[in-house]
Amino acid sequence: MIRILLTFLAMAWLTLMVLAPVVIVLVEALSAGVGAWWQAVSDDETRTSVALSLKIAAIVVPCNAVFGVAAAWSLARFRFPGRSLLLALLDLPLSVSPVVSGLVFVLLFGAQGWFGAWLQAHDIQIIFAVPGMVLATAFVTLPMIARELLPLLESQGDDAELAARTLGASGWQVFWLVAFPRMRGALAYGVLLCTARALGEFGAVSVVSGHIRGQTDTLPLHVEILHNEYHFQAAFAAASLLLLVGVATLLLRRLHTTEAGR
Amino acid sequence: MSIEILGISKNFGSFRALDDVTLTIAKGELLALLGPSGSGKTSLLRVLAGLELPDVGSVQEDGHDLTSLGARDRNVGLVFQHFALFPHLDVFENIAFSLRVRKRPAGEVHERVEELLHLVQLEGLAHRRPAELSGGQRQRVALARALAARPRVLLLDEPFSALDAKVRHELRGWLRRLHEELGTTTVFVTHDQDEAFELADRVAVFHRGRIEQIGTPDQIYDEPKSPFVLDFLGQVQWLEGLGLTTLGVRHRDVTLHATGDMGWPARIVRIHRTGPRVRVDLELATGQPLIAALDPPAAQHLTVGQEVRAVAERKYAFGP
Amino acid sequence: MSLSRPKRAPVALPGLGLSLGITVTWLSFIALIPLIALVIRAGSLGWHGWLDAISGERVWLSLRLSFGASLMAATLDTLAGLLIAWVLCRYKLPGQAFWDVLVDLPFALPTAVAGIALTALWVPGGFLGRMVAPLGWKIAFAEPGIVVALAFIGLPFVVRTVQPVLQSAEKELEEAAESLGASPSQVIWRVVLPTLRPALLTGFALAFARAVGEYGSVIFICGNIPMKTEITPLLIVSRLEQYDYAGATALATIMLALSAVILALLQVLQSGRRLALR
Repeated sequence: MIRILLTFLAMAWLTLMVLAPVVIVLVEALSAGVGAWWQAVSDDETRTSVALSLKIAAIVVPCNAVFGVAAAWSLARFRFPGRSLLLALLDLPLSVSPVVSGLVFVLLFGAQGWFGAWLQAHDIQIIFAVPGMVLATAFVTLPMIARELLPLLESQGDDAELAARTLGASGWQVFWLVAFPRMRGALAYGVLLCTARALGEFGAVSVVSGHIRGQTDTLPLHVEILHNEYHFQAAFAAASLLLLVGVATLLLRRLHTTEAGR
Repeated sequence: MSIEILGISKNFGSFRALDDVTLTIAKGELLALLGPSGSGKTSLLRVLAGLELPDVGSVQEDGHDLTSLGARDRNVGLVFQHFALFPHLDVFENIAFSLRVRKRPAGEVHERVEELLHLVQLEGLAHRRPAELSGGQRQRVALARALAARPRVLLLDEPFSALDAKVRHELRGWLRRLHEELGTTTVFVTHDQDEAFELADRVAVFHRGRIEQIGTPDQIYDEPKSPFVLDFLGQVQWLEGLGLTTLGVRHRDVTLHATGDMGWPARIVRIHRTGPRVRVDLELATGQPLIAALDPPAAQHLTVGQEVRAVAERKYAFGP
Repeated sequence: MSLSRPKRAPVALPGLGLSLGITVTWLSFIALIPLIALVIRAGSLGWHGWLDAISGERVWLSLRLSFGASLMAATLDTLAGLLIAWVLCRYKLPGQAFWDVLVDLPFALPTAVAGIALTALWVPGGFLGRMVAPLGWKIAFAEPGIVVALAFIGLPFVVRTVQPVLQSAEKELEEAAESLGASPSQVIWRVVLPTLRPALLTGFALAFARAVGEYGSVIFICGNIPMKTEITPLLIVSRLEQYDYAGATALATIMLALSAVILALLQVLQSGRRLALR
């Protein structure tokens, strides 16, 4: 009896609080038919915003991947003074408000920022332009790949790498022949998470973007613009693209965890 | 106050864990349920504790049916294999748990817990957390916790298997003395025959969900009723073709003679010392191997390659 | 995270210099220097300048709203998250895998999408807004809407912290309590909840930390009415838009300090948990 009641309550909460928002995105996106959805999705401005989002992700993700591998390697394989401080700092970007993450770059590179005058003199635009958005996105997604690799490397231990070392492998050989193949799965998964987050980031990017249509307009920002202009169907159509990215990430995650569990 | 288990069967999916088990546990006795893993001994313990409901059969105590009574109302003391101490409570509160949930007055709780702490020799550790105790200490806390509400019967699931060898031996003797002191009816599950024989008044040997044999340690050891029981007790050699049926010969029942015409002709293949005994590997004239476990003096003059006569002082034959 | 291991000869494995170099450089460039710049900038306001920037009724109301709504959302998440984790772990649900994936959805859904979706659901004419309108409840464009959005994004933090603990918690503990005479409710209150407490606290703190800084999912549903439904991150943005850098910076330092405090708290919680499980 209690069991049925609890099950019902849990399912009701998940349905109303989590499932309903997803369904409403699809319902609203398709409210005027598939044709209208396609029109909204293939609209010029939407396409430019998708291209910009992809471009930012294409810059940020590889940088954070290299960083992630380096951070995981140094933090999992070595003990050095300041290590626990570094570990704590690694988590900071995930717990800082996205608004603050954007703000710090405005303070550095904005018109009134530390480097503002110098940048203006050299005609370099960072804030309200793509470089600022890249920086903000990099900040927000900084530890995501490292966070996937660290526990893996810790649990694997360093026996295999030490063995390779005693067998005469050079430093790079140890990395490419032994360490890297064993972290490939987790790295791929971290890259996936990082990419999804980079494509969907809103708050931090919004602060530094300046909202210039067709220029500094990522897909999530485009959703906001459309929504604010009361183009609800178009906003939801654009949102449905981001929803698809999210759902695909979840399904791949499911695959990844069941594989890792085996 | 005896406990009767009548015709109990229990299936888990297609696996038959208990198959028509009937057993009477006398008041005050110390009974061991012995068998390999998966033989049904733990399932029976859980049925006794009220944690599993049997598919068929009943558990009765002096004529009262307990079968459908839940674990909460049976008042049995159960000690888990891995102790299952509450990690958020200290030793004192772990032991007091059954009294607290019965809402006994604080004074009584305090008195009883102190008494039990003394009994299990943990007086100084009342305010430690389980994580801060050694394996043997955890075991004793688990035992004290199970005894706190003065259970009608104490059930122990592989009570010593999570401990290392030395502690295991100490605790065995201690548990035996404790049982003599308290006289609580006690049932424990084990896969270790030494443990069962050393501790128990009676031993029930389990095999594939059934009780293969039940009796005193002497009865089980001297008169094993089936090949399984003899084999499970170990140190046995099976010989075929020396009669109508297969013969079981215990290593320690084999004696060797340099002369005479008793027993079987055999040749010594290997001699080596194993702890207190000397193990001699033999090859019978029929080509079959045989092993003799001898006292060191009896093995003194033997050499590898020597031809001897091997006599089985006791042979076990089981009818079809 | 850090499992202490015996120290050994430093030459054993290669690459400390290079990997640590990359780590520190990129971390400093992207995160540390910008955050330090924020603190220095705030420092340059001076004590009085800083106090001036964070005083005033509008700031006070926004902080109260952010904290109040986040506390409520994290509390809701803790209750609902415990319930959902319990049901997922202990009962077999029809479509178990589906519900399990659904729990992570708020992690994976970009905040802007969550924001417009929740708004569409809870506006007075929306699917759910219509259902509660007869009760006289106004959700969207009011405080409850903020709580709804924050509860949405925080839910997986609690479920995903509690679930593994519940899964690894030996069923034996509950059986032991039962055989010692505890009633079902005594088993819950005396055994299950106390062993889950560290995980529940961690989940609560994570959900709260996320909620306090949240921006994207809230700005659509809250209606952005200054002094009424204006959360602190929104106030920071609106100050920035008016080029009030000093005001924005002062507020940001409060948010940053809060993040640091929660992060430290979580570290303490986690090391406490390791100790208990040792």
